[in-house]
Amino acid sequence: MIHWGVAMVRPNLESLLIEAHTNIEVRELIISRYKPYVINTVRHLCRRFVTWSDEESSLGLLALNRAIDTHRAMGGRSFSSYVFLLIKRDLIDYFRREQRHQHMSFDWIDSEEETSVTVVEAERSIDQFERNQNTLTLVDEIMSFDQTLQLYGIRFEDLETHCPKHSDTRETLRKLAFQFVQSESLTGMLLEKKRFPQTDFIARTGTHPKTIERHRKYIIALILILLHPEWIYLTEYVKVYPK
Amino acid sequence: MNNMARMGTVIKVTERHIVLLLEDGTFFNVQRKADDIPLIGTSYEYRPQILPSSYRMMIKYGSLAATFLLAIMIFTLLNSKSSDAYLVAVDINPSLEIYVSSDELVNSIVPLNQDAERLLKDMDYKKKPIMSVMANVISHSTEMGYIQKDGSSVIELTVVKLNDNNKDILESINQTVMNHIILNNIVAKVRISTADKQALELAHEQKISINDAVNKQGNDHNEQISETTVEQLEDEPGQAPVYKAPEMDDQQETLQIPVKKQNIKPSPASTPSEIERTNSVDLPKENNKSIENKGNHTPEKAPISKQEPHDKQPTKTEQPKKVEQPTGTEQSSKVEQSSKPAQPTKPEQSQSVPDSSAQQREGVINNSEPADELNPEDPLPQEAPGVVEQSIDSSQSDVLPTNPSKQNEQIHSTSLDIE
Repeated sequence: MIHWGVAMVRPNLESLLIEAHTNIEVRELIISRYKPYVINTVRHLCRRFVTWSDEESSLGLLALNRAIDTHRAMGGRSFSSYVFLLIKRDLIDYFRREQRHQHMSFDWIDSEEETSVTVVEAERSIDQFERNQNTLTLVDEIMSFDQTLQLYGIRFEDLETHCPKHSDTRETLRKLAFQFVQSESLTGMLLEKKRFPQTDFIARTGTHPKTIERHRKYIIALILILLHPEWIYLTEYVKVYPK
Repeated sequence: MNNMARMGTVIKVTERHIVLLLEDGTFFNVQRKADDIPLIGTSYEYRPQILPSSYRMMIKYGSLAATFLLAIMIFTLLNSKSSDAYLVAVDINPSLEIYVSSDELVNSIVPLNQDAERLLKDMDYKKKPIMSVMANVISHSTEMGYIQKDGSSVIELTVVKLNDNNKDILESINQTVMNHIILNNIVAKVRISTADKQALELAHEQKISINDAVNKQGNDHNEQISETTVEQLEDEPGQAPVYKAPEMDDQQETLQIPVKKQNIKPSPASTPSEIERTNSVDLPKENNKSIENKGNHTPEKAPISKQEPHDKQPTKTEQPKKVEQPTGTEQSSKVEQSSKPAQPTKPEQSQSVPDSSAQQREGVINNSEPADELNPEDPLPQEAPGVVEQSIDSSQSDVLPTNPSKQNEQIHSTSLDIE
């Protein structure tokens, strides 16, 4: 089992995709990383909160698997946008097929007219998506970030409560995270144990334990972004480096 | 801060939230609408539901207006219920003005002198029924010595209707006061009258009690209950004070109870029961006649007393026939006992009377007295003294006529004849 967060030297996505052609574990890894993206895309295209038990989400996973097989780096298209494209096409095919056989998904749109509207909307949304190519690279980063955070038991939705409201506090935490990354031993402990080495960190920096406890998850997120300089957009967004 | 629009990148869409990575590097969860499923990685602008300023103003002032409206409604509602509908002015020595709502609950009491203030000090009257407050006022006044039980006190009540639509509560107040006076064994002069609003205002202008104003005006207002009954009692010298219930026929029975107790003690020697006793024993024939006369005196009651004997005569005449023996005399003596229960020497007297006279007497009694009271099986010894006492009252005072029962009148007339 490969854990990207643990490996100090991380393979980039392209090499992983090539490896995934032969290595089922790597394929599984890529699938698990992109599963949130697949379900989000399916939901977005279906305009409803599809679950994993719905047929549309299965179609999305099949499209992802096919994308791993067929993605070519030279195509000039990011993997996430390629996945999006395949999912969209499969779903449109599925909608048309369903429409033809009058077998609509139970929760899906009832009338023919509405279905056709949805198909048109889906196509339009792809155009819009492709226009915004910058976000596509960001998606890969977000997916990678999400997967890494999950190793530490952190979900994106948890981070809000651990976020400092005040900009000064944010700046302090950035400094603390930067200090943390400077120490190889602390970073090693974090990556190995998947736990924040609070005692060691406090002993080294003299930070108040309450500050760490209150913002622990946010600090871990900052540290992980700092440890992944390849997440260009995230680094820029979160402004992990202190002023 | 929370009302600000926020721009960020969607990093996750959960069932309830859209997680945004904001431009300042923080994370923010936005409540997700049902059909709002943005793609991960796209930018998303979160605009909190800010109502247009006109709408906000409307809510602001609308709620203010609604609050005022509600307050006014509650105020009027409360006010309408508790507004004063009657004024009951009480003058004993403490002078009070009791303001009563339309549902006969006391709103407030205005003491008009120091005694009244003292009286009201320990009284809880707010929102209490006027009847119970009146009762309290009387009992408190009695306890505090403002009302003398010897009949020297005067209770003046004036009911003023402050609202034309109100029903007349005078009668119920009257009854309450009377009941309470009687229950407390009080003898007092009670004057209840009504007055109108103008009279009240006039009295207030002159700074006198409405009762005084009513008294001054004399007959201008209806004096509902005359003073005569009580006054006449007071005119009787040397007698125990007796409150004679005024024209309240319904209450007569209950009223007699305290009266009995009072009267038994003071006049033991001259009670007509003694006279009656001697008459009934020694002069049975006269008794018979006198009872017949008496029947003439009270023509309404006579039919009753006559009818009953006629109905029962066959059975009664049978009894003596069977008897003419010791048993017959025993029965007749029992009858005598029932009419004169306090008599200690009865057996002897009945023995001294011949059998024929005993028969006569029996018949006489049957004729003259109601059957139920003379039932030989049920002598009713407790009722008899009460009856006798009532007769005392009637003999002592000329005023009593409305009160006593028929039997009292009968016995009374009997004794007069004998005398």
